[in-house]
Amino acid sequence: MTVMQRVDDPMEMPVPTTEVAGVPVSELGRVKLETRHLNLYYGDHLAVADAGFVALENRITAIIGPSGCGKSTLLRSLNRINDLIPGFRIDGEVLLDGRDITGDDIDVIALRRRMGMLFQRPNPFPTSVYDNVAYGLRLAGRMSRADLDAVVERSLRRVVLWDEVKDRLKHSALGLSGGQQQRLCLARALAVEPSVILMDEPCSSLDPIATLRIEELMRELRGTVTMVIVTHNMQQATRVSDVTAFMLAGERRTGELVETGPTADLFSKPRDRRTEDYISGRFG
Amino acid sequence: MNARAKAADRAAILTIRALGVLLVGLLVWIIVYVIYSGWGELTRLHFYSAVPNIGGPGSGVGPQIYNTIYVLVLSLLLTIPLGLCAGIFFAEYAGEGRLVNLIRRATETLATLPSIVVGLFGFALFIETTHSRPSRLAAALSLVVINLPYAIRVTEDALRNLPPSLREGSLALGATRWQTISRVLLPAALPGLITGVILIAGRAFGEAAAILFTGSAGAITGNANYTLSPFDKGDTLAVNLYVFRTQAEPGTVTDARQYADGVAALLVILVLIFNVGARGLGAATVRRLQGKIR
Repeated sequence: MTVMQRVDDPMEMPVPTTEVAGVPVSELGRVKLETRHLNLYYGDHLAVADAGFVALENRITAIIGPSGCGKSTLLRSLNRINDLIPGFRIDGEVLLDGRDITGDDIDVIALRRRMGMLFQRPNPFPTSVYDNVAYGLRLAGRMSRADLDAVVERSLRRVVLWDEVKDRLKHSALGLSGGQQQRLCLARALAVEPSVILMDEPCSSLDPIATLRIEELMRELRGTVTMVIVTHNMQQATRVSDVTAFMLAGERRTGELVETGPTADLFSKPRDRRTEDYISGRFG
Repeated sequence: MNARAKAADRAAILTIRALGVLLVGLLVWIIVYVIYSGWGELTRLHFYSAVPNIGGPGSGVGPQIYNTIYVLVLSLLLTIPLGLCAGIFFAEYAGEGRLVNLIRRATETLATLPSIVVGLFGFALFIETTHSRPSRLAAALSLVVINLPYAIRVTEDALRNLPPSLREGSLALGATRWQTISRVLLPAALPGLITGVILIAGRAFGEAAAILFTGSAGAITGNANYTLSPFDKGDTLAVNLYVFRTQAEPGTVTDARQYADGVAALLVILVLIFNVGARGLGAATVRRLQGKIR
């Protein structure tokens, strides 16, 4: 799972400068998302400093680290959802397909349409199962009922939820179990065909079986969607991700991206002492 | 220690239960007493259709029932959109500025104004300055002044109490703020909003002091004014209850006391019907919007 296939894409975007574990990322795959000298502030507080984060196209990148290290903040800056928080400020670059998305002139609505998001707790809207999945499509504009039906079914099938809910599409999504709700939220995100899905500890409120099902889905989506998952669960990172980034909060609670590497390498032979302390502390 | 804690626990539960039973008992007693007192009138068909009969027997409150519903609906039609817009503004757009907090504080103060003061204010503003006469419109506008702060507060609270993840979930799918508000947040807040409307309507039903100045001349008239014009006089049931009970001299309306009891009973029943109806309608709407849970 750690062997990175080289993606030979003639449309290769601007030459990436970042290295992952000493290897230029161009050796590993095409860069989908990248941050350069990214500083994230809440008011005066520097929450993340100088982060150089990379996510490869159609691969799974995990961000691990202890609570309060800024991993969610980093993730939430990628689709500008943290803009909602008063006082939040981005300094530096976030490149999506080589284009900076931090500017004020960026159409964040269009940006977020290209990047789905899963949250810590499943957050289905208090409407029917069907309306949840159709939500993003309806936002984009009118669609024929038949087309809508088809996308809803396809999306629910992609998250292996169709058979469980096909007879209760008109029922409230809140009647589903937590695991079903999270898969519904994934279907809702997939319905608008995003090229990236950001996941903020998507399994932290789920039981182990529901967690494994989400991980299975992630492996199935690998190859078609770029995924970035924040997790406090290191086993989860080893199970699903191709690349892992380790973050740690240093002085004054400022988070730092310590090390990024192919997941197996990062866990078996970490290059930074702090990474080693963290992973061995948890495993030992 | 353990025994004492258990005893205290039992005592607390007993006290709370006793107070609860007492309160419910009181409520039931009031309702039963009021309806019982007015039963004679309630069972007389003429009571609902006839007009107050000056100087004789056989009065009814037909026009007052009509006026009450007219003024209630008119005031709700004005209060609900205004309250919704202002509440949405405070919850979603205003933020935490100094000016915003000042306006918020002013709104809350407005909510504590005695209704008789609002009535007097309504009289000065809606009637004296426009050189008009008491009317349904002026009465409804006074009710708007009374209820608007409350409507704003209910809307703001209903939106703020929603989990932030709903808002983020919608925005993360590429929704605009207004799409998020209109398609996710307002439907999700609907149960709270419906309760707010019911409480507002209850206050509008029962409000007498404000309408005394603005809607009626405060005297019993025998007009059957089933008109549509908002500029016609509109004495409501609550006002009539007050007038029947306090102003009716012997010789104006026979058995004024009896009518007052009847009106009181009718008001209670109307409020109960409105409550149950609005709740039922609200639950049906919520089911339609949010889907069946099971």
